[in-house]
Amino acid sequence: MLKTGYLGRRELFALVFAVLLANVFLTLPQQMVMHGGAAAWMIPFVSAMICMIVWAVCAPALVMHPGENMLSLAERCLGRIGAGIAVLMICLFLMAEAASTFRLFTEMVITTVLPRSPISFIAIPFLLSVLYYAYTGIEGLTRVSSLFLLLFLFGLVSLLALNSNWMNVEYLFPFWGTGPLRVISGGWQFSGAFLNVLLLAVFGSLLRNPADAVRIGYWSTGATAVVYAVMVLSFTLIFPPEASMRAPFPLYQLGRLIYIGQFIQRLEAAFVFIWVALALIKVGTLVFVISYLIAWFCRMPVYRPVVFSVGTILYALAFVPESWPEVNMWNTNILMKVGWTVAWFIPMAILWMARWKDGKGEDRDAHRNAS
Amino acid sequence: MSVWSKIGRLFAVDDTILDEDFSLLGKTKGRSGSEPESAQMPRQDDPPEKEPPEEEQVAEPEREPEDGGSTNRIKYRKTIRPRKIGRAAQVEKDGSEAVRESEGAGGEREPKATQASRGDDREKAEQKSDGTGREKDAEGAQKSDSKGREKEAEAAQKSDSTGREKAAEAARKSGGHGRARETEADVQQSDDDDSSADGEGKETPDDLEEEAVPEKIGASLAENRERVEFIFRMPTNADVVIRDFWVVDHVPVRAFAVFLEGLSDTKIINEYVLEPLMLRAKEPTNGGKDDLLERAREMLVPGNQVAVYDAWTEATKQILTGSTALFFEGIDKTLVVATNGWAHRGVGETKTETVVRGPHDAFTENLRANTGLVRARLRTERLITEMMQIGELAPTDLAIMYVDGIVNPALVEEVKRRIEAVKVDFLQDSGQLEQFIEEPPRGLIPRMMATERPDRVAQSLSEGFVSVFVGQSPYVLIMPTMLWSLIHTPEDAYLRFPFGSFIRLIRFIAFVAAMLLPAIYIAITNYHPEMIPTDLMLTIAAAREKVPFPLVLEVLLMELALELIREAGIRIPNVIGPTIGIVGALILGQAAVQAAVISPLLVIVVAVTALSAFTMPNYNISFAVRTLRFLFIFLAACWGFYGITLGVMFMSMHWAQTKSFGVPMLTPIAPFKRSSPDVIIRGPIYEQEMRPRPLYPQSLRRQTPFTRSWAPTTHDSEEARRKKAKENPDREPRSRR
Repeated sequence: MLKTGYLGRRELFALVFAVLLANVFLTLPQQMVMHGGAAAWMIPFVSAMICMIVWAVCAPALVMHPGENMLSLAERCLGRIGAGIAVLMICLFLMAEAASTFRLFTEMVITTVLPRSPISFIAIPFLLSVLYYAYTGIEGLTRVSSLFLLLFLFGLVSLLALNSNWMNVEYLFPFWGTGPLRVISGGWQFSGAFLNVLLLAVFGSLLRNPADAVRIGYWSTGATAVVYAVMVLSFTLIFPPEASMRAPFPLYQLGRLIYIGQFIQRLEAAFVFIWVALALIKVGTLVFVISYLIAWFCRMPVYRPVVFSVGTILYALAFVPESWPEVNMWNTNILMKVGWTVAWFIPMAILWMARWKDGKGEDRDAHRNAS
Repeated sequence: MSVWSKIGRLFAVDDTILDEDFSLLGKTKGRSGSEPESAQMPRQDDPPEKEPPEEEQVAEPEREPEDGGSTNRIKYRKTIRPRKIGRAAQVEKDGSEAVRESEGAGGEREPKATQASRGDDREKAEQKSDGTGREKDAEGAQKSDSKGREKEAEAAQKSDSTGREKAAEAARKSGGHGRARETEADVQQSDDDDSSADGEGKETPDDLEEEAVPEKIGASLAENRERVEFIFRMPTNADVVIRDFWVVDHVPVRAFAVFLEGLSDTKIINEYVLEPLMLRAKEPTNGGKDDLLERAREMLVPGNQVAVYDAWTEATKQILTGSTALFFEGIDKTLVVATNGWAHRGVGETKTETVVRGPHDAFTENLRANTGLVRARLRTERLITEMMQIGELAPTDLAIMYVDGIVNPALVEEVKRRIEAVKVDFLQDSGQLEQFIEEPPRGLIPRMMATERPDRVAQSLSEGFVSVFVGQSPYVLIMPTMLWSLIHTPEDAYLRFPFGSFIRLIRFIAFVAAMLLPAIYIAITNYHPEMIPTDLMLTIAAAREKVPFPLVLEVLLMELALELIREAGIRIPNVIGPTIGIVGALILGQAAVQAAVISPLLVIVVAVTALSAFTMPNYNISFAVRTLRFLFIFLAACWGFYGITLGVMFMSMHWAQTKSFGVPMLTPIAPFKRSSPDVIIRGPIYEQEMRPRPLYPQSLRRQTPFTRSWAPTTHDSEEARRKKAKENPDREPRSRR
């Protein structure tokens, strides 16, 4: 794959953070509440802790091999076939994740913003935008993310602040919710939402200083955990766990609740911007990553020819589930449960293997001889 | 590029990798070494490089001895032959290789005499060629051989200008330079066949002139006069004045002056060119030189810009800029005196970038006055003005201005590279140049800033930008530019920073409102009425009750009416200008509401939108905003907020990847570059320490960190103490008060 230039560390952080942030506008808070009950807000911290440990194990490999990413290291450690299998697994998962997000999002738009619209009327413009985002590539994605990141955070904070009059601390009890073990197991399960490990393992090499990738990893994990926790906490403070479990679009519900004075009311439409923008960035990034990995696997110098094919498959795959509940079920029961394997286990395995081989000196010698 | 090629490229090529984009970091893509790729690989639509035609290369050595060494004259006479494409082309079509050989590389047909002199091979080839026409040609060529040579030899031996004068006379009578050339050719070849006359006039005037004018100025005054007349298409062209006179020297010398009426200052010519030469040349010269040209240049002509040229191209160019060229008998050079003095508007007030506080002068339709306005402000010897010309038919002067030692040299090179690549007949305005050199060429937002304010150009130059002045254009281009700069005004800096920030924030809000307000109104009213407070919603519903149109049509009608008023306001004669205000107010305000064509609230929305658009300080960005507004209206009508959001995101992505001369348009925010507080809000002037980092200027700092060192808040600050401690590590730091 041709390397076109360097990424800014702020921009890459913004992209990674925005991709993770998009989950809170979908069904993630509901899934967490269903798993952890009143203690759902603790789950993100457990997930973040797992991801940080993982990152601490594997991130040094990126520093030790500047200019190389997970793909080149996988090829060196696992051989062409092994690396190809790993990449295909990642692609399959990301494709499923993208299709699920795509369908969930379009269904959500129909349900909440544009009722009685045909789904293709919503999906096609979204798909075109996604393709454009993926087509422009990592540079454009990072810049747009960094341009809007503050706006996204401001929107989230104002959404919570404007709902503060509905919060009730009693809803936080029982403190351990469905139990500490469930919280821990939930933390493990929902660590699959932290795609930052995978993204940084692939694109961290585009930074000028590989050490920045390590910092971005920690910062993005920590910041995401805080945002997830605050959102879920606010959600559970406003809706009791029983009601939260029945609210598929938590932030939309929060937006609907806003009523301050006579002139600030029902602001859910105002948050459509943040919601659509984040979904677009997330799905666009996933499509770009899939195209990038496929292009790498096929030894293509550029990824753009693949983007439109991936988009077509995405569109077809998104409509395989018959209804929105079926998508939600697939997402909750399958993707979220196995997501961690791709989100951090495969990257960790590859990078750790690279570190191990490097530690043994074989790789270093081979490199030295080659050079 | 065809549609299919474009689609193929879309699917197969990563333009971010393969384009010829360049970076100010110095890494140039698609170029090898210092040689630009465009220079190595000419584009398909580029004109082919002009090479001397094969005919000339062959013919010249043969003619030299015949013409007594007058190379210029040979070229002149030979190349004015009109191209024969009438019958000869038909012959060529018949498939005769022999006749094809007789044509030059440029497709020009050789004179028969030359053809004959080429030797036996060609004659044989012509004779062998079948077909009546070709036989005639061959016959003509044979006949013309001896006669043509005799004539030319005669002309060369005589060396007087009688024949040429006759030819020139005939040309003048014929009333056109095309005919003049024909007559000249007839003098050259008295036995010219009919075929050459048949094919005349097929060549473009430019081609003919380039070939006809010799390179060097001759020593014969009559010949030079003849050539001047030829070059300037006299007497058809009435603008050119040739003034014959005698230089009253110890030995009187014939001379003539050439200048363009209306372009040159006749008073200067009379008093400072003709008068000294005609009346005072004989005066004692303090043992002056014998060479008249040198004497004239150094002692007689008191012009402040005097130059000597020996090439016709340069002399012509200077005359066309308003200078007066002086030719003397027996001197093969011309003395050019700057007498430029055409009428132009004086420095006036700004029309489109007015400010309350700050300079009010604006550029005018005079290149040198414009560069002077900038130089008067930015008085440094490092301010460089490089002159260039664009235009094949009529060259337009260009001035590239930058500050040496600050500007990134790669930027200057890139600007020059792009400008040099522009091959166009005539380029009149900076707006046209902008379209030629911007990249990518499609897109709504301007990729460079056009300004009429000298202070803005001066400030930009001091920050490391490059500015380009184009001919008589009163708008100067500043490049590169960032999106944020297009919403700034110079006044932001002249006001105290809280007010500068305030008006800038207002403008940013206006920028968004001008694009999105009608769309948001449609989205809320049609799709998200729950957002509107109940009382307001009832009011809107009541106002819209009688309106028969759908909301989107109502908005489009109003926007269209507003655009009409705006366009009419620009085109309408000044005398009846105020009428447009009355008509607009009546149509948009009262009448439309009373007729229940639109709702009153919409009038407010459209008026606020229009006001917002008027706040845009850059004319080009206001166009972009106006165009995008209609796009967002469409999106809102179809999808409400969802559509607006997708549109905004799409547009943002487009802007995020758009670059102006290698600088991303959204920088220093995306990508982030540490910069002085002068992007969204205007920080205090003493904090504007850095030049724009995205330009990678040679010198980043533009002021010292402590510009207010006298102020207690400054010299007692922690930062100051640290700096002092760093500068004087031995001294004990002063305790904090």
